[in-house]
Amino acid sequence: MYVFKANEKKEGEKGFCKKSEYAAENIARTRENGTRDRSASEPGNYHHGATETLARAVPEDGVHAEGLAERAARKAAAKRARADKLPARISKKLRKTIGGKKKLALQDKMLRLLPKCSPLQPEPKTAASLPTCLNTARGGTATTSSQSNTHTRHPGTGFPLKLLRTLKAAPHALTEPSRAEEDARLQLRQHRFGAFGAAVAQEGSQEDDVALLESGGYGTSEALEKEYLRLTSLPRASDVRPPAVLAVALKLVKAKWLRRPDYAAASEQLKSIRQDLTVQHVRDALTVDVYETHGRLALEVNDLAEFRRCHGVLRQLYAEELPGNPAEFEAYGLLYTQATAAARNTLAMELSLVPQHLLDHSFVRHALAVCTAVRSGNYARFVALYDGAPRMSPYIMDKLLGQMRMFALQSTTFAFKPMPVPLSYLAAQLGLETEEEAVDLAEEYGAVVDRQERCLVTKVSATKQL
Amino acid sequence: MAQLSGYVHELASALKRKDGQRAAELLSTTSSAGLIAHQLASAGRPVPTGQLSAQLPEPWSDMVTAFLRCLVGQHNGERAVACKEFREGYAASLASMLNADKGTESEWLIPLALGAAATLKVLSSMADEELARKGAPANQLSECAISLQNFFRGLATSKSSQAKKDASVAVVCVMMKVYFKLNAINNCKQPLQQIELNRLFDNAKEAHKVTLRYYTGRLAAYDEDFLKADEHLTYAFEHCVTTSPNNIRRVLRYLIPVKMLLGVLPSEGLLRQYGLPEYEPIRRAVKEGNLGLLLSSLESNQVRFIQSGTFLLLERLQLVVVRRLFRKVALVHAQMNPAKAHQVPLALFEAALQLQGIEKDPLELQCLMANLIFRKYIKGYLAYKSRVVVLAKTDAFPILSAVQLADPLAAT
Repeated sequence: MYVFKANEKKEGEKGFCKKSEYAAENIARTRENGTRDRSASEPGNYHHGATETLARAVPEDGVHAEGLAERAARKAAAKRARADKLPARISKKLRKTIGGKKKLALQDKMLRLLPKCSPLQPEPKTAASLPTCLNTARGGTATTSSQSNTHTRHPGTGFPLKLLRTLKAAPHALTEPSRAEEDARLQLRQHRFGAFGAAVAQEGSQEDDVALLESGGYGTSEALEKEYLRLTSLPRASDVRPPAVLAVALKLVKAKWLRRPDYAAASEQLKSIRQDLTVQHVRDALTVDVYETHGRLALEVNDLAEFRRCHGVLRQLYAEELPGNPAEFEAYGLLYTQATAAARNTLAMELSLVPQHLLDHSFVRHALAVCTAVRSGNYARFVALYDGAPRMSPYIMDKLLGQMRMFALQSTTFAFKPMPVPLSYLAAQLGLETEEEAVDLAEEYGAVVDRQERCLVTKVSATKQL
Repeated sequence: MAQLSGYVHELASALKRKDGQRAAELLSTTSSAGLIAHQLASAGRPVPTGQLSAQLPEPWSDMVTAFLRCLVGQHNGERAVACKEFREGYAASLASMLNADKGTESEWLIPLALGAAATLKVLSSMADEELARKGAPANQLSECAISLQNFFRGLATSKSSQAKKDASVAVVCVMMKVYFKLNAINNCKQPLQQIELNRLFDNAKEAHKVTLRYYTGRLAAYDEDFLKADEHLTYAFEHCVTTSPNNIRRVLRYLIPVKMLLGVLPSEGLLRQYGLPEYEPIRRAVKEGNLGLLLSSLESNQVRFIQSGTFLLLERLQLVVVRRLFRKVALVHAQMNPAKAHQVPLALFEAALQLQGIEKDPLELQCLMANLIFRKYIKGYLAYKSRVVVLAKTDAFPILSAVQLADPLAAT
């Protein structure tokens, strides 16, 4: 109960009297969904400082709840709130510490704590992203400082909402709003949220003394997760995360993916990491790692476009002699081309793009062998190549498996004439574990199987068009 | 300088006379403009735009300025800058002039256009080399492709001028070279279609015909349409002048794999004459049915084949080689065991492969056999229990070319 009181007190301080619809929604949700850990479910726009707001996100309606269930919920919520206090303390410390290493240690701690915290509501997105975008247009404040987060907890009006929609659709539109209007809105918001940095007070061009990111400099933000927005101009230094933070952010993405694969969220986070890296002109092993991770994730969920993009950039990075796994990605590229090529000549072209010194590498050779097997219809070899397939190649080989199996079936029914073929052989050729599966597959394609005799009746099957 | 003013004077009169030929000569990199540019470059002086604009009509003064600047850049070794100048200052305006007037009015510009197209390609490739060395993105060639497209559009879409249409063939030749170098061969289809549509091929010069057939043949080979590839490349081979053995060599490099896939082997003499030693072991492998040799020679020359885009073609030869080997095995078996000549045990085949140093497990062997039968390289069937291939009494090994065309897996 202490928590709720704290909540109310703080509410009173700020003078907020109306709850946004989001808050209500979230309260309701927390009530029904309980304390299940959902830190991975929201698309990534957590700000570490925002964990403070979690303390206030605890349902207030619980005050008048009756019944065991609700009391249990409240207890769990209290536990969570207590857990939330910790990150708040840590984030305060973070703001104080200057030493990079210590910061990293604290952030690591934060990382480990995140699972225990309650989930964040989506509303900061509206307020947070809106100022971010407007501000990137005119060099305004960052939203990543925990201070601002506390302020943006209640966005209030529907007006930011509208802008958010146009924001995503046409970020450039934001650079054009009439100056006077903008200033008025800005003033209003400042008034509401209290004084920000002095920078925000100046409107107008970016050439003023706002701390924009200088070329060659590093940013100062510490957010482990950041929403991805297209930049319309040079970002503020406090928006951009330095490489040290980005490394931790990448670890966070990986950890989350392992816990629960959410491609949209992970992709967004990775894109924002990439953006920060590009803006700071960082091209080193970390960049390679980010692109490789994104490429592998894209492979896993079959996002060919993204994979191709990452692969393209990776090729350039490898050419700059950065450490990584060039052979692995070349292999993926080849396999992918074979699996999805619409035009026949694409594989030849792809092949000519592979850097020469990689052609001898076992991964690339494996990929080439697979392509050869597929092209010549050598299904036995194809199945044999599953052993020793490097890293994520099996995912892509799976795509080719379908056509290989069909070919195997056709070829076997055609070639083995007088006597039927035993299922064990068929299962082996199709690369299936059990004969049952072989039977199912065969019948799916319209072949005739004699279950009694455990064989594929080729004579009859051949007459049917498979 | 005397030379510059003389040059400008001549150019001005050529332009006034609408003498495209003379103007093209003057505006090429091999003319005296080169010398002038050299003088300018060594003296460190910029191109005298005032002098040029005084003597030449608009927009020619700008164009010639750009041209001279480009040459100066070449001399200074700044290829990328030179290329850009040429493309944007000179070629673009030329193309727009062509595009502006679709009739016979600007026919005299044709030699200029052709010269520009060729020069542009050369400049772009040199610029790209320089950029690649510096580590910058080498995009000059792709920009060049876009400019060439403009030229092509200007020439090919002229409704009344036949000369223009014929000239577009020359531009297409340059485009092909650029696209193949860029590895963007999908773009080749469109201009080629245009040519087909307008039946421009017949009027084209012999040299252009050969070039076109060479590229269309290569495209067909990529698309695995071997009959068409064979036809086109043979045309190119036969019509190519013997005084350019390099060109013949280029044609042969693609013609030989295609022909081998269709069952025709090149003679040793041919290979020796045109210096294509990489095909020698392959030829022997196909002749003898030596799978081991084929694989090893593919392996050792892999880089070269991949660069010329023939690697995947040659991989297809594997099936051909296996077929040949099996034919030999069948013959041997027929000799050893005339009573059961048509029933060739798989074990024999396995032994033959082992002799060549290749281990294949029985599953794969049966797969291979089944494939051969399914794709009608061999007429017969497999008897599972006895592990024997039963061949047809007649024509167990049909002619290769007929088989290749009916190959059901050719669709991959």
